[in-house]
Amino acid sequence: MAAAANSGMVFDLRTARRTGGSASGGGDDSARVGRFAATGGVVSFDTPNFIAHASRGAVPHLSGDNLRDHTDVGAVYVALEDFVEKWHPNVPVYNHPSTLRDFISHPSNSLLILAPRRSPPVTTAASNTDASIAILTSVGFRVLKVDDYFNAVSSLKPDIAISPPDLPHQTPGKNRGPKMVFRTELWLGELIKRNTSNVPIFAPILPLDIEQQSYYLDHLKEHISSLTGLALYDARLAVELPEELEGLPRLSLDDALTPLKVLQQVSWGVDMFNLVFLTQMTDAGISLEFQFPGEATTKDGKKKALGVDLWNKEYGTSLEPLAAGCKCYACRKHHRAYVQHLLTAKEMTAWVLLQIHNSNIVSNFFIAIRESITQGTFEKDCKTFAEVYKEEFPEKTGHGPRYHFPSLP
Amino acid sequence: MLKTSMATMKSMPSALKYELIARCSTTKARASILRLPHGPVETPLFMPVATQGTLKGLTPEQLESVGCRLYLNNTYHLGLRPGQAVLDKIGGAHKLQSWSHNILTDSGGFQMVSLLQLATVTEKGVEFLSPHDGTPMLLTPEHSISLQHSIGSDIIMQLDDVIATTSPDKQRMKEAMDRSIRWLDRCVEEHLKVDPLAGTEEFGGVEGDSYAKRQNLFCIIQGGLDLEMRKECCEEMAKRDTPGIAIGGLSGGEAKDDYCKVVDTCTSLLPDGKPRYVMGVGYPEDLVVSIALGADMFDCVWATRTARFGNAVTSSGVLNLRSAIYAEDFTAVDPECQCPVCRPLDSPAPPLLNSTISPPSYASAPEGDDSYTGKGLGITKAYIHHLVAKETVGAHILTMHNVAFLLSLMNKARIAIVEDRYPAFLKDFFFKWHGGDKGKYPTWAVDTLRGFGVDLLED
Repeated sequence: MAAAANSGMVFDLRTARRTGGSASGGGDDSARVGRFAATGGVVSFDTPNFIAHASRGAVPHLSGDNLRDHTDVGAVYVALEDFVEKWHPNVPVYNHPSTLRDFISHPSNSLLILAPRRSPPVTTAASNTDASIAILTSVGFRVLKVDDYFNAVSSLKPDIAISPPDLPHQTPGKNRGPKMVFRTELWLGELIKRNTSNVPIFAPILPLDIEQQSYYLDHLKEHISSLTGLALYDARLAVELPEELEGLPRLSLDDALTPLKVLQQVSWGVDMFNLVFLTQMTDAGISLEFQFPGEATTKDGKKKALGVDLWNKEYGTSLEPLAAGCKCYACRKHHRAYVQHLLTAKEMTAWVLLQIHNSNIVSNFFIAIRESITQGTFEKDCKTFAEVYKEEFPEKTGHGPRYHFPSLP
Repeated sequence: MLKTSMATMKSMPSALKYELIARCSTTKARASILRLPHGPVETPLFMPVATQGTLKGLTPEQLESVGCRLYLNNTYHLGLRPGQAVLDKIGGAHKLQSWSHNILTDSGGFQMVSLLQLATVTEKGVEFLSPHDGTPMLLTPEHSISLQHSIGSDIIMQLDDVIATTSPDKQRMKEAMDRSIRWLDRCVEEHLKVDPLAGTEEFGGVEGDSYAKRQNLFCIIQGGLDLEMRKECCEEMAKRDTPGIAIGGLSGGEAKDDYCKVVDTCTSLLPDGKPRYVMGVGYPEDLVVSIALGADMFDCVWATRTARFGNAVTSSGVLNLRSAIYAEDFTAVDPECQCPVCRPLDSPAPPLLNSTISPPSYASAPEGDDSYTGKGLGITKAYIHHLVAKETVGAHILTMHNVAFLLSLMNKARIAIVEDRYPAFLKDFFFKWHGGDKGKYPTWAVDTLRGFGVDLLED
């Protein structure tokens, strides 16, 4: 990424023709298409799109070569808490002569988003303070000084840094809500002030009523020139955001746990998704097979499954690809019988192939969503999708990988 | 003792061609091209172990990218899972794992004895209790070969009676050796049966061909550390004229001097025109000395297993990357290594050192395809330290490097043999491996190589 002053990411909102002719077109369909690009022009990221959640800097199961060569993962979410250890005061990544990107050897065709905590975060024993966030390291809880996070943003130079939100573990009471807003605003101001490397910043939007954070939103409007995007911890707020903030891309950290929920958030105007179900389904041994909007071909009126549980014995000798018609590496070269064999043998390659495949299904899902919005058929296509596919993923039956840290809920 | 007389022995077809390319003028090291049913490989050769039809998180193309064209599967494991019926239905192990190159399988006997405490060996075979339901089962030589036929491996191993070389019971050792010879005959008999797939489009050949036309049975020399017994076994087994010969029962905790004597004795007696495979050897020092003793092929789980514990095999020895000293070491795992893990990010793959092997399957992919590129990853020791034992990706990349290191070590040894400078290669290897400290050289290696007039300690 070029690091010249004022450099960074530019979001070009190409909000498609709003369902032109249709009278009901406006409604709550705020779906939008955009392109997020580095001013240098090396990496671009079309929205709506997904980002993959990394664990310790790696997309689970994917070594850099598989991530680079076999997936279209355009952005990865990395949490600083994955790089801080409980017992060492020293944090190796801070001492790396170059950037976080270099430390984790991140593929050059993918964006790197840094946040203090994983998403969703594991509940910590301690609470945040004005100057620190409670985090979980690989061996236990500790606190991360927000100062350290600000310094890390400047030295690690991610493509995007999310300013720390103050998120309590329980629904905030009468006093906690205002405190969340206060700290989040305080920390954002501090990050902007200390952003010596001009790292593009996403400001958090808290999971509170919009009225409760109205002063904070005013603050965002004032500092809009210092912001590159918004990180939404409650996706519904996308429709209530002030007009002045409309030009900023919206990253949802409010987990859309099914494709239908993704579509709903897209219709609210969410641009980027931290897609937790990707690795969840992979770990469960489920091969995704949905498309957007999908074709209703079943005569019996039954809805199609969103994925196939490859633990199911009936695939033990199936030489079919993981999903019919899929062009990903796993489907071109391998078959269901092999993945089942690997799953039952608890061999790591099972999850490698599933992750390659599932990420391709999800990439294609978002390509089709963008086309649909551009064509002005998004609302109709969402209805089709809801008619064709089941709402929930298949029930998980098998065991996950032997180790995976820290496990997502 | 019952031994088949030569007269009743059927001649054994070979599905491989061993082409000797060069011989070291000082040691017994040799370089060859071994042409197998799924393409040529070059010896000296290290074969990584993909126990259950996969190598610890690596895709077949990642293995291809580091030059692997022959790996092991374990018959015992594939026989249990996915099982013979599924293998038959799918059409063998190559199809199961989408591996277009060669596979070698063991007989399954070693796993039974090492993994199952209640295995007993009788003349019929290895009796054991099913790990699934505890019912008594029997692995006979015939059944082992039949399983390996279903797997379809390019090199298959006879069932042998394996006991620890360190066993003091000479009588039991002799019994094991004699039994292994008798079992070899039963394996040959089974292997010469008509292959029902012969003559089909997929498997080629002519209807009525035996399995021996597309799979190579290797005998396994037994006899513990008793050189006389080893000699007898070599002579008897060589008569059976299998396409290749393995030296078995080693690498089980015997003294390295004894190990070297056994390999040296066997290679001197074995026919020149066949590949020699020393089973279970894969530690770099053992490999380079065994090559000097005239062995061609090796397999071992050590490098891939140790990778999962965070150990990197490098030209300067084994590094435990879990150690805090690597937390901020931002250099490549082995700066001399040319594998994708160690090369700088996105640097193009260099040509493989082996000139004769088939190109990787992904090389012929159409332009614009999301094919494997083999480009560099620019991984540092610090990043592996950060990942190891916490994310499986750490295991994947270190496994890939360790396999690449051993394959590359074999290639470098091969080039040295071809250029007739193997003694210099040995000196260079030991010097780097021990960081220049000759005091650390193992005595057995120094003594063994001195036997060839190679003095590792001289400057």
